[in-house]
Amino acid sequence: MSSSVEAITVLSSDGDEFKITVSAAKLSKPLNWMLEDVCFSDDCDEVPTIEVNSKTLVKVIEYCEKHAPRANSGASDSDAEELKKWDIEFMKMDVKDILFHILMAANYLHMEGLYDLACQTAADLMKGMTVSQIRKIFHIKNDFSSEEQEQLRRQHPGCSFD
Amino acid sequence: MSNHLPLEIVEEILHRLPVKSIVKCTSVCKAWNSLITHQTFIYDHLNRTIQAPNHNSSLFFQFMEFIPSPCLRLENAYSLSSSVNQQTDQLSVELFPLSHLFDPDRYTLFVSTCNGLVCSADYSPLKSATIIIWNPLLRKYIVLPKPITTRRKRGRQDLCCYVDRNYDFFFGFGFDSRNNDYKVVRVMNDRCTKDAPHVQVYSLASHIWRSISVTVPQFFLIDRSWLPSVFLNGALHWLVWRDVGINYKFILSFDVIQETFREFTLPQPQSNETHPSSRLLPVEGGHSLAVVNRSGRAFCIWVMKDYGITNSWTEIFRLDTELYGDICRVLSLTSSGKVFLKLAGGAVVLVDPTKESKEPVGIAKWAFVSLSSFVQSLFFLNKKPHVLSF
Repeated sequence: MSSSVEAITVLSSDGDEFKITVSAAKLSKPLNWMLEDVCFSDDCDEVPTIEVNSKTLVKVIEYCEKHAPRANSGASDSDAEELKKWDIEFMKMDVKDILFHILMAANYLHMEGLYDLACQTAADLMKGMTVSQIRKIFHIKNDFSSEEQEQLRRQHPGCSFD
Repeated sequence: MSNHLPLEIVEEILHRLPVKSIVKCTSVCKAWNSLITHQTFIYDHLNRTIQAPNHNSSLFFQFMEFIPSPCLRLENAYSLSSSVNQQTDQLSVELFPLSHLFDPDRYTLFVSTCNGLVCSADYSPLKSATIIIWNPLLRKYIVLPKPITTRRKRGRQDLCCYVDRNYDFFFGFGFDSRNNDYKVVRVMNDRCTKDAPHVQVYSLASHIWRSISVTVPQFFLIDRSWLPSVFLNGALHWLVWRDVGINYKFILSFDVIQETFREFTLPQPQSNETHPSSRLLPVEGGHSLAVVNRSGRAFCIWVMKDYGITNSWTEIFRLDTELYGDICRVLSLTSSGKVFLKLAGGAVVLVDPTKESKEPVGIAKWAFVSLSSFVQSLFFLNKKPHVLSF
């Protein structure tokens, strides 16, 4: 790839075009490999497609652009602290609507930091939920009979199932 | 994109939940249930928990005086989550009533924690020891089979090690990381003969005891009624002594994987007394062994900075007994450099020796208390015939 390229264009699964800087794209292993393999000069027609919908890709790129300077050069403790606060704000999102899509995108794009952050956010949300609330957000049908459920409760006297 | 998350992502999320929430998730659906209750998930969970920094919490054991004193009986355990938020020590407390697990006419001989489980043994002058391994968070326990023991005939009337002056008798509880197995070690040392101590090992996976033939350095116990084991770096440690013209104190260690003994020298100079004012402690969340020595008006805390290298013993600080009120015991060292102390009068405080700050730990006054570092574990989650609930 030409060293003069600072940003590349990618397509979302919905067919929308997005710009992402090279340093931000390096946060994802598959994107990084693609940068090495694909020609990005202006006379090149090919635009890589990322199998992530536009709404999710906007957020993923936002995360990458924010984290790229620190990932590439290291940062002071105060920057790390600031980034942590930014992450918390960034993760304030609807679970069904976007968080699960972010999780799948981070997994697919091998983005360790974002994956970890999204998993932790999902876990923190689940901590205070009842079993039926958990089923609802994960779109899971209860396949236990009421006897089986009662048995599970009896099996784990130390834990609340509500 | 489907709204259903693949199970591999669900698994990642579940691993970030506290144990009680994970157990709750076993009732979400059958797929989640089989994922969580599978041994692979339980082992993965334990390994992640051990490796994650700042996830240690502490377990307080409260004892009642047992007549004839100075025997003690384990009454309750309290879990105290500390340094959950990395910065602040969060002092949330949960009570586990335990006294009903134990026979009222027995005193407690041994309590030790290892990787989320607790092993305790009680003893009565008339019966042999009942040894249980329990998971406080899941409120599950198993009773170990009785070890098969042999003793000289003349010792028969005094089956209790406390009243039987001829025997040194103690336990250790550790984790064999090669086989993902918990082991209990039982050592019986006959003071009257030159015979090698009788060593037996119980493995949780096999649920049986076996005798092992192993070379053990000559030793005597310092505190014969109460000797918890310290487990770190794959080995158990006890503070013992032997007579080499003077009373030479040293650390006896047992490698849980190899099942071999070795010994370490203590920081010098040591007082020659064999009274139990010296204590071994693990440095929470780390791999270092610490020893607390009482020297005049101070408690001196030494740490073996490089494990196994005895010339790396370093005195990290001294605590004047009157600095924080009247200190009667150093209970535990946290990974953040703080110290849990028991003061005369029964209060437990968490102090930071670098700042001389002190915060009370919000539990009632303690007469007898011990404190162990503790991680959350899912062991005993599976329904097995010998796993009981409390």
